[in-house]
Amino acid sequence: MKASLLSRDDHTGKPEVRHSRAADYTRERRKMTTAALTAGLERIPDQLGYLVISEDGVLASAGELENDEHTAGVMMQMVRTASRFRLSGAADPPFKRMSVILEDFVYTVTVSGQKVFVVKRQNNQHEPISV
Amino acid sequence: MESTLEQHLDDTMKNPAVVGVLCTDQQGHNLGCRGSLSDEHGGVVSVLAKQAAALTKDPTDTPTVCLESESGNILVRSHGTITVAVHKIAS
Repeated sequence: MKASLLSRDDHTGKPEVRHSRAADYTRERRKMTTAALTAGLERIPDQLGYLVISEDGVLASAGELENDEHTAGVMMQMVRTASRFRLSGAADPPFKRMSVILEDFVYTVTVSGQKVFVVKRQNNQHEPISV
Repeated sequence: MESTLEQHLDDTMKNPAVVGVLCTDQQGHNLGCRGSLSDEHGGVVSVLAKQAAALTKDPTDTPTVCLESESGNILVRSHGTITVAVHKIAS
């Protein structure tokens, strides 16, 4: 016997809305897409956190960058600024990767498929040797 | 007065890995440049340094921005009110 989409809730008697298979499938797909986006980021050595940003906002975030809207905003502004940088005669995009190096950590930014990937990593700075 | 800066720019260009150098103020006005970096880059360089400063709460922690591409690396860093950009290629 097929289960109907609308069945009576035992306690309230109100119709209980069941999710259709299509909705379940879409949700599952979305979960899979996010996992695919972040799978590589999770494995980066010394990674402290990451952000995946699109024009519409933050798609994924984790670690020290979890829900960090401020950093996401600044990074998007920086990507827009940096993409206006053109060396004369160069046809290729102005950058493959942008790094912001601070005393204790580094933000590394790449753009791929309309998405901006930001990773915060520990800065294992090598002091220059003086001779 | 600016001969010292001009001398520094020339000295920087002596490094075989350096193909361009630029000094700009906070408004993006060009104070001096050599090689691949010119007047038109002043604005982007100063804005990039200013935006990067918003990533840290510690005012003594000055960020270095590095743009990596096929045509080498462009390093941007502020020193007080002056921002310096250096274009380096792999040597």
